Amino acid sequence: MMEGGEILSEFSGKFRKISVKLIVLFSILIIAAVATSSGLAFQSVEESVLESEIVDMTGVVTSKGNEIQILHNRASENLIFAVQNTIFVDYFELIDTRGGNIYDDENIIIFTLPQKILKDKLEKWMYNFQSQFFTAKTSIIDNTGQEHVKLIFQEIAPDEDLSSTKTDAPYFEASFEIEKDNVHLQFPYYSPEIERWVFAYTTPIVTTDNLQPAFLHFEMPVVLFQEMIDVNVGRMYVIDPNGFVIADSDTYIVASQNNDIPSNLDNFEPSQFFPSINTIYGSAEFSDLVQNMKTTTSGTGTYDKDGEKIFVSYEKLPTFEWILVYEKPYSLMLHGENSLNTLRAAMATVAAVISIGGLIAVVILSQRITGPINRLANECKNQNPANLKKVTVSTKDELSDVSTAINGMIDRVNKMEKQKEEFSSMITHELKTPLTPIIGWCQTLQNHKILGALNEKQSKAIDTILRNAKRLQMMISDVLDAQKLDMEKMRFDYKEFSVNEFLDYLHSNLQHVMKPKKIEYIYNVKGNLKIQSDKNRLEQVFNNLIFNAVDFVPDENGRIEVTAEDNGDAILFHVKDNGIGMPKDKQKDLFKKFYQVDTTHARKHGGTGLGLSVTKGIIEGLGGKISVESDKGKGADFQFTVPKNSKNRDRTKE
Amino acid sequence: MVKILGIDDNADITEMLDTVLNGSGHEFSFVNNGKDGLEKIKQNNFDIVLLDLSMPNFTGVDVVNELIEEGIINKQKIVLFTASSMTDTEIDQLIQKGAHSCIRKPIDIPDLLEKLTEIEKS
Repeated sequence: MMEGGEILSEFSGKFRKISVKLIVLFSILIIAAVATSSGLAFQSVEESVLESEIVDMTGVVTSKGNEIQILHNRASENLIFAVQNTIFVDYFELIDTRGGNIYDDENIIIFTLPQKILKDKLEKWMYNFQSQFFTAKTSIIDNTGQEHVKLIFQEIAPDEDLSSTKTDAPYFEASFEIEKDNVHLQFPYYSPEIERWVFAYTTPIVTTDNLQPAFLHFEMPVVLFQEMIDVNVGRMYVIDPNGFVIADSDTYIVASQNNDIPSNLDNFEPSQFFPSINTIYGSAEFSDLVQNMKTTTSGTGTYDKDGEKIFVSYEKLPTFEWILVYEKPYSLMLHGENSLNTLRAAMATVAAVISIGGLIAVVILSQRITGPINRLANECKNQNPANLKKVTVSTKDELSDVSTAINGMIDRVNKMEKQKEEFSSMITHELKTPLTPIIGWCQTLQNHKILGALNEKQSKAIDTILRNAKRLQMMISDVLDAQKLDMEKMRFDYKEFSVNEFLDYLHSNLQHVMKPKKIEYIYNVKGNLKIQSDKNRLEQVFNNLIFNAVDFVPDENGRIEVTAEDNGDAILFHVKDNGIGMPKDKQKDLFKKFYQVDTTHARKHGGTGLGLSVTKGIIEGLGGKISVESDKGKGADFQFTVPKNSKNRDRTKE
Repeated sequence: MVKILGIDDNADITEMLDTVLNGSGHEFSFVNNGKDGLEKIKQNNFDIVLLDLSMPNFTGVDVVNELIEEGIINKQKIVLFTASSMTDTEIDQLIQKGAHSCIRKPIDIPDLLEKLTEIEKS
C-alpha cells in the first residue's frame, strides 16, 4: 500500500504524461480566468476594506494541497477513488482507515456524520480534480461497487431539443432556467445522474470552423459552492438571477443536502428549497441595492440594518450569472484578516473552476469530435478511385460506426470494381469472337483466288460489311483500352522498328477505308527514321485519328496527310485532313471521354466518343504529347510526339 | 504441300479456315477440342498448328504445356490464336517456351496468309 501523497503524485504524473499540452493550456486558462474574474471583484473590495491584505496565490495552492493530503489520510480503506475518462479508467484505494465505516444490511456503506463531511470534501476535491484534468467522469465507489459520488461532463446530441418549454427534455426538468447567447443556465435542481442538488449550464460546443457538433452539459453540485463561500467574519451569499439565495454562509441552504429530494419534480417550486433574497433583509434600501446588483457587473454599497451600517460588495460571476455578495458591518471592518483571504480564494476558485471547466470541456470536446471527423474526411478525400483503401480512423463512439460503414462500402465498391473488370474483359472477348468469322469471310470473299470473283455490287457489299466490322472491332478495343487506361493497367511492348516501313504498312492497310470515299491519302517521312516503341499501340493511334478524319472529310476531294519527322529525342507526327474542322472553344474538351464536338454528328457517324481519349492516353503512356490545330471549316491537324526510345519515355514521364 | 492443323472449338472459324487455307494451296484439317488436338499433334503429321488458346476444359495453354512436358514442342510450328485479354507478357512466355507466334482475334486473313508464307519459307 502506498501513502496517499505518493499515490497522488503518481496519479498526477500519469495524467501529465497523457496530457502535457492540456495542462499547459489549463495553466494559461486558469491564470486568465483568475486574473479577470477575481481581479475585478477585489478591486472594489480593496477600495473599501482598508485593512485588507493581499494573499499570495501560492498560499492558496499550498493549503488546497494540504487539504487533499488530509482527505487522503482520513479516507476509509473501503473507499475506492475511480477516475474514468475516454482515455483510461483507473482506480485506487484510499488507504489508512481512521474512523471506520458503517455498513447497512446490504453491505452498502453508510456515511457517519464526519464521513459525510469527508464525502462532501471529497466531492469538492473531485470537482477540482475533474475540471483540472478533464476527466469525463469521476466517481467514488465502495467495495461493493456502489457509486457514492459521481461527477460527469455530459455531451448532448446536436439535434436534441434544449428548449425549456419541452418538459421532457432530459436536462431541463425541475429547474428554472434562463437563456443567454445560446447558453442555457439552469439553477438548482436535483440531478438523478449525480444524485445531488446541482447547478448546470448547457452550451453548444463551437469548433474553430463555427460548427456546433454537440452540446456540453455541465453540472456542479450545490454543496461545493456552499462550502466555498464559508467565511469567518461577515456574511457571504449567492443570489441567482431569479432572486433566490442559493448559497449562504450564515444559513446552510436546504437544497445543498442530498436527502432533500423533492417528491414531485413536475411541480418544482424553487421557493420551497431556496429562500428569497428578501430574507437577507427586507428594506426598501436593500431592495434598491439588489436592483443595482442585477443591472451592474460589480459594485459596492451600504444599507442600514437594525441601526448598524452594513458594507456590501458584490460581483456578478461569469457563466452562471450568479451574484456573489459579501457584506460586513462597519464595526467589524478592522477584524477578520482571514475573511478576505477566504473571499479571495473562494471567488478565485469558483470563477476558475466554472470558466475553465467549461472552456476546457469545449476545447477538448470539440477536438475530440472534429479531430476524427477531419481525419476521416481526409482519408476519404485522398482515395484513389480505382483502388479504394480502408479508412483507419477508429474511436469509441458513433464515429467508429461511420468508419465501419465507410469500410463496408469500400469493400463492396472494390468487389464491384473487380466484377466490373472481369465482366468487361469477358464481354470484350465475347464480342471479338463473332468478329473473326465476319471479318475472315469478308476477306476470303475479297480474295478472288479462293472463292472466285465477285461482281461489282457483291464486291461493294462485302467492302461495306468489312469496313463496318473493322469499325466495330475498333470500338470494342476502345472500350477495353479506356478501361485499362483508367486503371493504369495498360502495358506497352517496346520494340525497335522503322517508321518508314510502318507508314508503308499503314497505307496499304487503310486502302479499303480510303477507296469508297475516294480520299486522297498522302504520307511522307523525312529521312530514314527508327523508333523504339509499341508498334501495335501506335497503329491504334493512327487508326483512330485516320478513321476520325475519314468521317469528317468532304465526300469529294477529301484529303488526309500523314507526316513524320525527327524532333530530337522524339518523332513528330502529323495527321491532317481537309474536313469540317472544329471551333476553337470545343478543342479543349476534344480529348475528354465520351466527348462529341457536335452531338448531331454522333447520330450521323456513330462512335463511342472514346477514340480520342484513348489515343491521348496511349500517346501519353508512350511518353509523348498530342495537340490539335483547327478551326471551323479549316480542317484539323493533329500533331503528336513519340519518344524514340523507352528511356526517353521514362524521363518525360517524370 | 504444307500440312496445317486447326484446333478451335468455334466451328464458324474452323469452317472459314478450311475454305481459306484449302483454297489457297494448303492442306488443312481441324479438330474442335484440345484433347483431340494434342493426339493429332503427337502423331506428328503437321507442319503448322493453329491453336486457339481459350477453349473449354482443355485449353490451348494446356496443350502447349503438355507438349513442353513431353518434349515435343518444337516438332512443328505452333501459331496461337487469342481473343482473350491475356497480356503480351503471358503470351511472350508461351512463345519463349516454344510456341512460334501469336495472332490476335479477330483474325485478319491477309495477315494470316502472310504469316503462313513466312513460316513456310523459313
